[in-house]
Amino acid sequence: MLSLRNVHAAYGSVLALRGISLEAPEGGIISVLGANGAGKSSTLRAISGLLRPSEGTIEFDGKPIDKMRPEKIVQMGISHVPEGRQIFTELTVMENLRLGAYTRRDGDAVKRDIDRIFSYFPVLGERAKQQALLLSGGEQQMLAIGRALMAKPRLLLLDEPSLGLAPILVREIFSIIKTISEEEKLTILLVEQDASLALSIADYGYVLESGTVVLEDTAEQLRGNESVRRSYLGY
Amino acid sequence: MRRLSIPPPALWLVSLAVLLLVFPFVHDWPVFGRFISEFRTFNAAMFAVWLLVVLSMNLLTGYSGQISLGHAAVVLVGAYMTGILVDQYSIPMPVAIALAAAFTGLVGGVVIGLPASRLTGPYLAIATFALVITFPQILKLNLIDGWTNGALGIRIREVGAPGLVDGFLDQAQWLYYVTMFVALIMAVLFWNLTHSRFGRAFVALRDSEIGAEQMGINVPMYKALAFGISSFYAGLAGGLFFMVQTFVGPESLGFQQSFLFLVAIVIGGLGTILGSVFGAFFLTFQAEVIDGIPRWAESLEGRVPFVSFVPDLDRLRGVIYGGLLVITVLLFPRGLAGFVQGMGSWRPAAARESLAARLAAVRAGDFGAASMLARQLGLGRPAERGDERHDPPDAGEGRSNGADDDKLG
Amino acid sequence: MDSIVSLTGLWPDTAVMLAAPPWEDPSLFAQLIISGIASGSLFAILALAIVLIYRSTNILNFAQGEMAMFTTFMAWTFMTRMDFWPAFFVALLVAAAMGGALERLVLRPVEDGPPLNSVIVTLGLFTIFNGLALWIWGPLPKGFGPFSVFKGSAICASDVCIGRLSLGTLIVALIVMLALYLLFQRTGLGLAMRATAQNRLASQLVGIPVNNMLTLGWALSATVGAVAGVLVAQSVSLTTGTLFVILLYAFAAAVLGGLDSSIGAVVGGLSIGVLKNLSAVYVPPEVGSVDVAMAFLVIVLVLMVRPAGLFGRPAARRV
Repeated sequence: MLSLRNVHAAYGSVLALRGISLEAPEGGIISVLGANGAGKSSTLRAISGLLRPSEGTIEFDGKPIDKMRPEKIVQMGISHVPEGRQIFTELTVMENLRLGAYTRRDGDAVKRDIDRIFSYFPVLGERAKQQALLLSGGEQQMLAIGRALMAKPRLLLLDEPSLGLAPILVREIFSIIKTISEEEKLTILLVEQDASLALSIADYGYVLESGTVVLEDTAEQLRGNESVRRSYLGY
Repeated sequence: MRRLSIPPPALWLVSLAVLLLVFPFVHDWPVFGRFISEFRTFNAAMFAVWLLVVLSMNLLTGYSGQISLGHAAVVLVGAYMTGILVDQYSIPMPVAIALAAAFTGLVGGVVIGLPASRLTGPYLAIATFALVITFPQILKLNLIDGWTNGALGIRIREVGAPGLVDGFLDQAQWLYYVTMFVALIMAVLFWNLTHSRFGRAFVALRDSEIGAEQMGINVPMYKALAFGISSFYAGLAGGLFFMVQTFVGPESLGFQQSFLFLVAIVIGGLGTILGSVFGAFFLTFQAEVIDGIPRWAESLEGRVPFVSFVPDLDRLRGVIYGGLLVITVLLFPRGLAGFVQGMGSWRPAAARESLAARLAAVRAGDFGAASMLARQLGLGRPAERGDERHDPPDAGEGRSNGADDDKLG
Repeated sequence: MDSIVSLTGLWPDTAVMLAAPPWEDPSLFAQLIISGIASGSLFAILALAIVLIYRSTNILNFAQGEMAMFTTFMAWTFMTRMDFWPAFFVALLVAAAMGGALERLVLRPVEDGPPLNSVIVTLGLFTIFNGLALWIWGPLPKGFGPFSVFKGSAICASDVCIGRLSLGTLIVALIVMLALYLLFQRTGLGLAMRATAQNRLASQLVGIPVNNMLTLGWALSATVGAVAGVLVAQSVSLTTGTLFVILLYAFAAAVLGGLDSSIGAVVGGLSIGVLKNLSAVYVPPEVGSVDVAMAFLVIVLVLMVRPAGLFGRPAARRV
């Protein structure tokens, strides 16, 4: 469904990605692991069009998307939940969700989808009319995910959903992610610092180091891999 | 490594000093007199006044990043104060100028700086814009008519040279030496100030107020200080302005001049002394040059094709200055000074390394990275990092471009 | 009466009148309020244009007044060739195109930079438009004459009157405000524009064509400014300096109302108009004329006491 081949990208003169290649087949959760600065977020940014690759190709459903503008990529069916959530803090929860559906033209379906988001995250329904600024960190993360789902994506890019959240909330959010991926038949590319958490729900994983893939395998194999355990799982 | 073809700074300084010393007499010399008229002595005195103004403006806007569109009003404060002290209290001119400068510095630091230290960017621009528009009306208030003489302004008899040098120097020459001397001293002080702890704090303010706060800089205090010192320079310039012109009125300096001050620092080069010198040249000669072009075009008529199509430049003045401003900001953010320094001491390696270091530092937080970079660059294009218009405060001392800054000093 | 109703005291240095205090001459007081509201509605429209750009791009447009002046001159040129309404709408279209083009070509590179750069660029545009207008149309005033809708005798209730032109201006200001309010609060496009102003990155990620939104913001603002310009030219003759003083009052209005609030811009504009009228009449002549100083005072006081203005949201500090 998604394939990156030898993707290079840079901020100014500093290379962030040095030849990333990865495949995400339809369905399931693919986890991208790596240390800080390994290029995990940059990979997602390259896919969603925020970072222009200088070399290599990105294909979605067989169509090249690496030269498309971000809004076109959203229309293709890829939604990106960025690191730090980036919700519209001065707008209401409802307005945030409506903006998520910006690229869609089916008004009635949008209303049904908002209700569906509220069924996954009931707390958002209770706070629909509130300014997003007033939500707690966990609720903001839920809103960010909900907003991304409103675009009806087939591929969801999730960047560090656990960042800054209490462990109990993190477990809740991860179990919802798992549920959503199954119920919506959604492919998820999950970037996560907490490797054991990510591998617990992922089907397949890639390990990044200084902008390139150094290891890939099924989640199960990765959990058993000696060097992954030493470097990322901490035992 | 020093470039061998360029003489050491000492030689530059000596030549400059000799040039400045003999300048007011050059028009009497046989050959030079054909090129330099006596009027240039007066021009040079005004150049010194404008240099102080541009330095003042550069300290506030170029170094500290505080936008001021109201600088003409601050200069007017100094000029009026000097006028009032001389005219009504018969205080000798030098004392009056010193008092006026101190007063303006105090007013600028406390009355403008402290409140302004709470304002950022666009808000400060609005407030200072409003100040300069309003100031003539304030000066004309009947309430303070007794001091300011209302719409008529303050006029004094011309200030001759004191007895000691009388007869040797005429009035223009005397004014030239006084203003140039003051301007040079103040420029040297300026260089020292901007290369001190204070200067680095000002630059930190400009780059990021929140960053400066985290570095332990007392942001409101330094902002007020920047306003105070800048106003002191402006007040001094105002005093000398009054001395040279022997007149000040509510409309002597207004929004248009404030705007020209901004043009001067931007096209000269923000945050450098060399840029301030270029800016002062601009302020001194801009009117003459623009007025001169049509006459020059007329004289060429018949010899050069299409010359009769040179438009009425006086009316296009605004378009020319505005165009210069926009083009400079968009394409040459370091101004003329950056261009000159770029010719003399190109230092790609050092700049690129510091770029790499900073980029590496921000790379981890991918998401903030793009916007952080944009902010640090000023104009938002990573490729221009090497063109950064001022050295980062933490970059090593004694790099070659420091020497370019002090050509004047 | 009509002279007070129109724009008395809009310009600095108008004669200072001696006036009885409000309790002795309530109808003068009422008249001042009414005519203040009328002239204030001009400030309000220009303030709306300023707010529109500020909230969509975080840029303070110092060229707003001069852009409006320029498009008004264009409207004047069109009117020598066609009727009022077609000329007016052609001028609005040209203004929109001009605003959008400026954003694309000139403002785009400075949008992400420090505010100093954008302030410098808009000031540059300020003098460019002023100079161009002077060059093209010359320094002589151009008569615009009130359009027929606005002609006719003043409307009076007992001895307090309002000119038709003033009433028309007020109504236009309210219509513009309402239209902008509906656009921003009730339409998807408006929501997308608000989102863009707030968080450009997130807007890109939900698929909003961010660049188009910014261009649209400038185009809209230039259009609103052109409306203000044509209305100003109805009551005073049009010169290259006509909108300069109004710009200061519009800034005062925008700051008073809150730079990101369109309702604030209107309330601010009307208040500044009233304040200006009152200060022109009730400040004793010993003090001197203070109408411009009043605008300055309002700006300083608001910024000191409540920088977000009456209706603005206190801005979070941008790191």
